[in-house]
Amino acid sequence: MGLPVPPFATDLFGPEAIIMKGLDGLNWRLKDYEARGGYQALKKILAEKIPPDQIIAEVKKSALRGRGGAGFPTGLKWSFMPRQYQGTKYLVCNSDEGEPGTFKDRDLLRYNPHSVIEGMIIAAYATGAQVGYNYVHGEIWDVYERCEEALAETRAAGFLGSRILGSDFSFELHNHHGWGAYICGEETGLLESLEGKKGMPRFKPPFPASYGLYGRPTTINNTETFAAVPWIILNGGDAFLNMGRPNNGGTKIFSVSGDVARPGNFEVRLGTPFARLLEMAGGMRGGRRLKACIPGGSSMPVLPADVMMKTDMDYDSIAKAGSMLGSGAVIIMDETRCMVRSLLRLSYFYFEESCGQCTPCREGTGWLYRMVDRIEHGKGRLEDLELLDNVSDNIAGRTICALGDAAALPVKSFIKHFRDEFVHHIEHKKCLVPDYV
Amino acid sequence: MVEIELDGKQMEVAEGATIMDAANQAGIYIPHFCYHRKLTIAANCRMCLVEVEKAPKPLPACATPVMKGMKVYTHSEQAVTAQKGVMEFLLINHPLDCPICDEGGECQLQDLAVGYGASGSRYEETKRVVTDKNLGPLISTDMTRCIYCTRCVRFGQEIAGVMELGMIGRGEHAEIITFVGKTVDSELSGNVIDLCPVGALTSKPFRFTARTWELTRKPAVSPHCGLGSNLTVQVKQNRVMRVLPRENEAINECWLSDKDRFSYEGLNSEQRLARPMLKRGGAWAEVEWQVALDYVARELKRIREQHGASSIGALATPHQTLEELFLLGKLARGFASGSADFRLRQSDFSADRHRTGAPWLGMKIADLNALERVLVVGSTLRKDHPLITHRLRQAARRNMQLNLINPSPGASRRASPQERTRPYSSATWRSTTRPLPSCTSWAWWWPS
Ligand SMILES: Cc1cc2nc3c(=O)[nH]c(=O)nc-3n(C[C@H](O)[C@H](O)[C@H](O)COP(=O)(O)O)c2cc1C
Ligand code: SF4
Ligand code: SF4
Ligand code: FES
Repeated sequence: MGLPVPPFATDLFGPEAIIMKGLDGLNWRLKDYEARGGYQALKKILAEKIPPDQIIAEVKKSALRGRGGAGFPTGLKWSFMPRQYQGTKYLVCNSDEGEPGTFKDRDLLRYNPHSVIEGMIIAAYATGAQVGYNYVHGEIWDVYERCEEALAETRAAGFLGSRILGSDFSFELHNHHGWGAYICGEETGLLESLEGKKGMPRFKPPFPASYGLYGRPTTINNTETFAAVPWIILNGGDAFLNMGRPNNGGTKIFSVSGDVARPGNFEVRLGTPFARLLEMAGGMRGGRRLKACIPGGSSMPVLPADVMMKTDMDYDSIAKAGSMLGSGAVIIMDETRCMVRSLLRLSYFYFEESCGQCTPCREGTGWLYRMVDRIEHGKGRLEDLELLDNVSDNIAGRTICALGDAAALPVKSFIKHFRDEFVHHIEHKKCLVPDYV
Repeated sequence: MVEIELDGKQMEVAEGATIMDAANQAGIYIPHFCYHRKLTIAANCRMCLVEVEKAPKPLPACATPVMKGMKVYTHSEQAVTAQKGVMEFLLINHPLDCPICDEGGECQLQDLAVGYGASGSRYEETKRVVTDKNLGPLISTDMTRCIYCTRCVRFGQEIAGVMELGMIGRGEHAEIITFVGKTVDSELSGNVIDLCPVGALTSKPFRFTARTWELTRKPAVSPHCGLGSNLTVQVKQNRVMRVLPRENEAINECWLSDKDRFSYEGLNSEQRLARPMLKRGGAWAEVEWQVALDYVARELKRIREQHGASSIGALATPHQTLEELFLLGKLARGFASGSADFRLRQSDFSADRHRTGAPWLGMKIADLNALERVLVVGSTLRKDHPLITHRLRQAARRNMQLNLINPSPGASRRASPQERTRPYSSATWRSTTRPLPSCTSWAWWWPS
């Protein structure tokens, strides 16, 4: 298959990778995964008949938090699944990765698909789900095909199906190829899409744990969240927790992109200083200066260089610095980047990706985009800055899903931290930054 | 029951109720567009945002269930700021030209904009334009006015049972459309005109003929089927301009079938017999009412004298109201043989000997929603009784079993999946041999 061959032979996820250790781009098959200790966790659970509650307790202890964006404690989420429910319960993996700047799940499924599959089987065991779906982003065909191949291997090895490995646990797993809409990454939009409907988020409550896929109890987690599960089971929740910081257990893959010398995915311990991550990514490209960084994917507030350089990469530290860890997409911008133009690109994305269901997002994203567009093209007015801020406030927190907030937060933070550039654009009808790279 | 505090007042509401339900119960108005008590909750317009103590952000009243001890403020600063914010968003792309909109004067958006809108717009970008759609001869569209509340879409799915409207596209490119190349043809389609909170869907026959404040309103009962839907007839200068539903939970709820809604047009038809006529010397001639009535009275008396009272009976359409039929019966008893009947299209009366009393439905119309099994004999259900069909549809959604004997072929083909049960066979017959509560009266009741 025509998959890109990475430029470096080992450790695709960086030198400090632990869960994704030893991946060279070719060793994704079942036998390679097993050679790295794969499926040991599942075998252990089934052989020792570890009760589901104990697995959930272990995951709780690990302080694993959802890697999809919201950072919700995974063990707690699993415990919401009704125990006594008669009928099918579902498990869903959110591989719809559409957030600009995020490209970790794609590589994870390319180079280590079995870690996700094993994680899902364990999660199904813990939550009592009988059927699972892995919803793969629509625009990555090769990854979908790889998922299919990996799943075929897993089935052939007897890790899926009825009475897995002779136990009385049965679980069936399917891949589902989406169509590439960002909104289908929102968990309930994804469920609607999986049901064959238009991907429009549902109002919550009820949450998926009580009313999910086809109205049945459903657990939905991000790809990377599942991938961490086998490691936690094999090495214990405490070991995972200790790799990170209290309340921020484990390692996390950061997708570093933008003006760095070596963009890519890096798995590091949570709490690693930002400067260290930047160094791993080869430092700033062309020796330029860091100007700004969006630490958690395009939906999160941007932070200026000085704040960023003092920040450690974990949920709580980044929150303290005024942004969010989100999906772990670290977008690096150097001094040549125009912040107005950058915001224009982001605003356009949310304007285009809004599902159009609720008023503030449908109407507000277009308004924001058009205003930023005017400023970028020299037709802005100073009052526009207050208006942008106020319109953002009227969107954030007033919508059905978090896309509304995702559209509003960048606008507020860009204007807050880089007001000068916006004012310059308005007053001089041109950019403060000399030229683009 | 759950105890909550709403705008500072303690109250008890049923478990599972929403804040909107509680407000309705307390008589407090929360602005809304997408919420409609007969439709499922979409929570998409966001107009009903209210402040809930301890919640970090305003919550939609229509979709938020009450919880014990919840404190809700529907008109606090936070709530009103949120509501005004939503109103501003609704108006930025909405044409602000109410004087040329047919909905003007009876528009929910216009009404609420008075309370929650600003006097000027902060939006100075280009406005969205949406092309109009052809929904057929009854519903006119002005799609640029649409606020995407999806009431019309949900109505099709949930009440009419045919999904004729849907929302395509995303974000600002979203549009309400019909299925490719189709029009809206359900027997209940006109209800989307009432449901649409803005001037996006309006009545084609009525459009631009009158303003709501020019019309006087007269209560009436529908003469088009045995259901007797309650109507409001709206009149301008002695001419019926349109007919709207008059809410009656026991009969038509807030709905109206298209024939009830639109057949007022027949009133103004040139072919309509508007004045009495007498045939004299083989030719019809128009006469005054008094002349005609005198003639009828004289002739009836003459027949009674010559042939006896038993030679006179009365036949009336079952589409009359009960009161009118009662008066006719009284007349028949006092003046004629006492024989009065409304079974105009029936030829076999042999069952009369085995039955006492008048044939009727056997239950309240509203109780149809609760039936467990229904056997329909020889009716094109949807065409004959659109609103009874809607009640049976609601029952079918809750697993009511419906069997049809000898429906007309078109009826079952076009029925919604729930309605479309197996055609009559001995197997279905056996499965329904437990006596149906009102089987006989049903058979009487459904016209063949
Ligand atoms: C607009 C929007 C897009 C999202 N896209 C994704 C996505 O692509 N992948 C993902 O895992 N989570 C995405 N999320 C977050 C999910 O809704 C959900 O929180 C997550 O899948 C839960 O998994 P976790 O607990 O493992 O993080 C998105 C959320 C929103 C509001
Ligand atoms: S916030 Fe935007 S994307 Fe989310 S449901 Fe509302 S309109 Fe759709
Ligand atoms: S056409 Fe009317 S009822 Fe339908 S979505 Fe638009 S505003 Fe709502
Ligand atoms: S009425 Fe509650 S969101 Fe529309």
